[in-house]
Amino acid sequence: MHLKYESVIREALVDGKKDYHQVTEDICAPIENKPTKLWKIGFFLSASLLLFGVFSVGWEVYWGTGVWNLNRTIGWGWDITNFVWWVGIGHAGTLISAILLLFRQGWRTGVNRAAEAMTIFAVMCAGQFPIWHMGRVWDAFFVLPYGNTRGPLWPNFVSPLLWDVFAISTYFTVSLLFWYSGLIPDFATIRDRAKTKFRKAAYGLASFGWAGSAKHWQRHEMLSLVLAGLSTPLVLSVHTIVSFDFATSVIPGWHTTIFPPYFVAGAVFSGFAMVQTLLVITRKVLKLEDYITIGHIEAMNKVIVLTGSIVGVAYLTELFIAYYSGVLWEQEAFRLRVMGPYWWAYWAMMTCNVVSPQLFWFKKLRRNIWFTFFMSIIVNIGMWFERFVIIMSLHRDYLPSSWSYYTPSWTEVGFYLGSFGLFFTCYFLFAKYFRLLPLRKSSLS
Amino acid sequence: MKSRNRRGAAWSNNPWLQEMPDPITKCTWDNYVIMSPNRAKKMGAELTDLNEVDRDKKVFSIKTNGKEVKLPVLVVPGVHDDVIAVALGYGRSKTVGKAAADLGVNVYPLMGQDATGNLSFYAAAVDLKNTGETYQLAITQTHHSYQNDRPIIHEYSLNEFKKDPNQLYNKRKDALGHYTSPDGVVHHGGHGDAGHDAHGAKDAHAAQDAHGEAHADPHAAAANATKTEEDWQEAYRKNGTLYPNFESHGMKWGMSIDLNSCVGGGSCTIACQAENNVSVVGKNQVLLVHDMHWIRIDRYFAGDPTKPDSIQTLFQPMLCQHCDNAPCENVCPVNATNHSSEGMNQMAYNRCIGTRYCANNCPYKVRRFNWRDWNEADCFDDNVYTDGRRDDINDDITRMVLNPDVTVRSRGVMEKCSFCVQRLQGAKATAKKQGRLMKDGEAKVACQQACPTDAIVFGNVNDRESAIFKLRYEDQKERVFHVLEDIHTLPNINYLSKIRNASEVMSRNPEEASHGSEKAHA
Ligand code: SF4
Ligand code: SF4
Repeated sequence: MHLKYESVIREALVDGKKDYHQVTEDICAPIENKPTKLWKIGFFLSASLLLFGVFSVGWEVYWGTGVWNLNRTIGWGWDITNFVWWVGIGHAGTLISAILLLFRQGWRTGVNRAAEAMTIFAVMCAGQFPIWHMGRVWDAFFVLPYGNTRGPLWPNFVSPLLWDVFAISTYFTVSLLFWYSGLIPDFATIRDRAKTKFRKAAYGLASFGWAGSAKHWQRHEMLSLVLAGLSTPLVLSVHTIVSFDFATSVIPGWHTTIFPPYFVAGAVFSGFAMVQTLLVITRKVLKLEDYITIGHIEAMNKVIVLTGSIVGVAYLTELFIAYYSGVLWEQEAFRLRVMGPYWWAYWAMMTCNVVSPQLFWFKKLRRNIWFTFFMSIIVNIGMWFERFVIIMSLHRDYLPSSWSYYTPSWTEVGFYLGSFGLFFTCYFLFAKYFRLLPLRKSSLS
Repeated sequence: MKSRNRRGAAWSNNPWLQEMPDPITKCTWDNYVIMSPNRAKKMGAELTDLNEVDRDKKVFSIKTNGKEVKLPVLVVPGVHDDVIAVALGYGRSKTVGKAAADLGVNVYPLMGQDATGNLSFYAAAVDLKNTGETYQLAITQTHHSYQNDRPIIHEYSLNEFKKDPNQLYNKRKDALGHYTSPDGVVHHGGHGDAGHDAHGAKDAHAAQDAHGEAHADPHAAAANATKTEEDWQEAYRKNGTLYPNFESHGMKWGMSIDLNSCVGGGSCTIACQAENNVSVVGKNQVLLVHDMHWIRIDRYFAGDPTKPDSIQTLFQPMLCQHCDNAPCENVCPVNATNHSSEGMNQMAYNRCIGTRYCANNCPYKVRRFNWRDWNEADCFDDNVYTDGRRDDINDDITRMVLNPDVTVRSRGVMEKCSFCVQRLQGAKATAKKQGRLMKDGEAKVACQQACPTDAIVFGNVNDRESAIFKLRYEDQKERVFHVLEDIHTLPNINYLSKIRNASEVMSRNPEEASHGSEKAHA
């Protein structure tokens, strides 16, 4: 029996043989120097997209939801597809930082700050869709359980959409706290290095008077653990509840008990892919190759192939259950999914989500930056199609007389592009004025 | 050539009628040429499962009597392979008014004269060519075949029905009769006594069991709900769900629609439109499937599309089923749609925020969303939907057509059949003022009133003397069914099966007639 465990020597977390000072210098550089040209271009593009999105949404609010091509049979289309897609992307951030923190995985430092920021921004994007898809968005506050003089009249607590409201807002709050508490020590460092008065005051305010004492660190660690412990189950609950929007309905193709785990696996899958996309760009643009190593990237690719396979099993299970249940509506729904007018969406989903991630079994491909980048895009396209395919179960449900078809209008596409604009605008601002890599973790390790 | 319910276009400038889907083709706002699937296939206009949703229809040139017109083609099974048909009354000049000006194509020039000098409504030698162009037709129903295995419509041939009138009743009982305990598990077979139950209402024993002493005093029955359904139906109602069952005491509105009587003409659609201020949306919006009709007539074809003689047509009026276990109700985040104590599903327009979740979750797809500002009824200025044709409906004079008892809905809210609740309230109020109970037949809904064949019967099902009660639970009980009964929506609307005077019924799988009894109690 071994009484002593000797851990295997793992790859260095930071490449390039840097000392602590150099680490701090490198990481602070993007914040303290003037914005690079690349940053400016990126920011300009994102902000333009965002503005286009605002215009599209304004157009829709003014003229009515009819400027979207949704119809009496298909009441949700790109709007809710994008909602679920963004929520899914948001999850990976939390998963990475919280679960990896709980399991004390050192490599998380390379990715977690980006991931947490991603969560916040993705949830912000996600939230836009259910809000602006409403026909009368100015009455959106009806969904909140506030005291009123109408009875009082409460929202409908059995509606999954109401659960969404609670789930998403809770999740957003916890993620925000988690992310912000992680940033506090970093803000303090920037404050201490600040050369202008304004900078000092602004970062001083943001860091809540952080002095870096042992007591501060201890409380900080405690808080991080508690928030990590809170947000981990939230990842499961949020996507479970999002899946309830479909699972609790009566529409064949929606009404499925497999949805909660299937949605959670899908969320992790797409979330990791999105983190990959961002990391690959970030490490290039901000020259952080030594901190976000190929080892980190490979580890994440392993998660992608795992969750991709889980999702694949879920797809096959659905097909099997439809056949095995003997329920006509189920069988029809899945036959139409595979061979109906939306066959192309189904097969796009299958190819992107199930078939292509299997290439990550090859170590060479797992460690190839370009291939990883390419795959991360593919996976996110696939996961978008997954949500689209599920929502499009509506196009042919019970009564053939109402069968229909749907393609988005420019306003819907504009809204989606706008959400990218929002996401990247936030991300660029964050990368510039906040901090992509947590200082202390890299310094401490 | 045909001219449909517009007296050869006398009323063609009425947007209601323009937007009323043709009973057979379900097309609005246009004329077109119809032909059989075989001919269409030969001429490159084939309709398939994948292209049926395509709005672009092939345009054909039709030459006869030395004249030519170009019309888009619609493929309709049941048309003879060597016949094509076009509708008159389109292509009118600007003077007719906004709605019909230059709409469609005038086909009068194609008409020749017969030997006596009268206009001839047919021509024998026609030169037909596919021009390769396309034209968009606004059709409200794109899938035409009622798929045999979908239990949406029940239909029997007269002989089948005579042989065993209880076939449908037994089939329903086999499928749903095993919810005898709350866990929904099969405890004993229901089939053995099916015949007995089927005659229940006429059977003194069953009548006493189920209906108690209510016969003595119909008013008492109206005031105190008693069990109206038979035991297995009652058991299914209660045990087919995890949720508690709410009983409607007093009034419980119900409707019965006889598929035998329905001729598919659609006067119910227009009557409802007039009564309930249902908006006309215009061709471009129908193209986007934004039509607003609260009651529509689903038209299905059964049979082999390549054999015109085998085609049988089915009409099924479809409106909100006022489900007692309504899927639309529980998904609304703000309780904007809910159930009345009288068994109706009702909409609170003021409360609706327009998530459209209810419409998605309605299995009958009867909920209609106000996609745009159709009637200048929202809080934005100048955003009313205009398309040049429907605009007259918002001028001051034409607005007088609106029913003052009914809200004009603003954009962004959901609407659907209300069971003409304003009429029901009116009838109740009248009776109350006169200090008496409301009599059966005093409250009539608009679609019922307009139906020329009396296919629609409406009333209080808790009243044992009402026509609807007698029809549903006594006189026609063998023919009663609910659409999508198996998903436990508990509709308050029932249909009566179609009994076709034909040797064969095309809408059914041949084997279905026989296997009903075997599969029930596995
Ligand atoms: S038919 Fe549709 S809209 Fe009407 S009550 Fe049932 S689910 Fe609701
Ligand atoms: S009952 Fe009234 S509201 Fe409902 S479809 Fe008939 S006419 Fe329209």
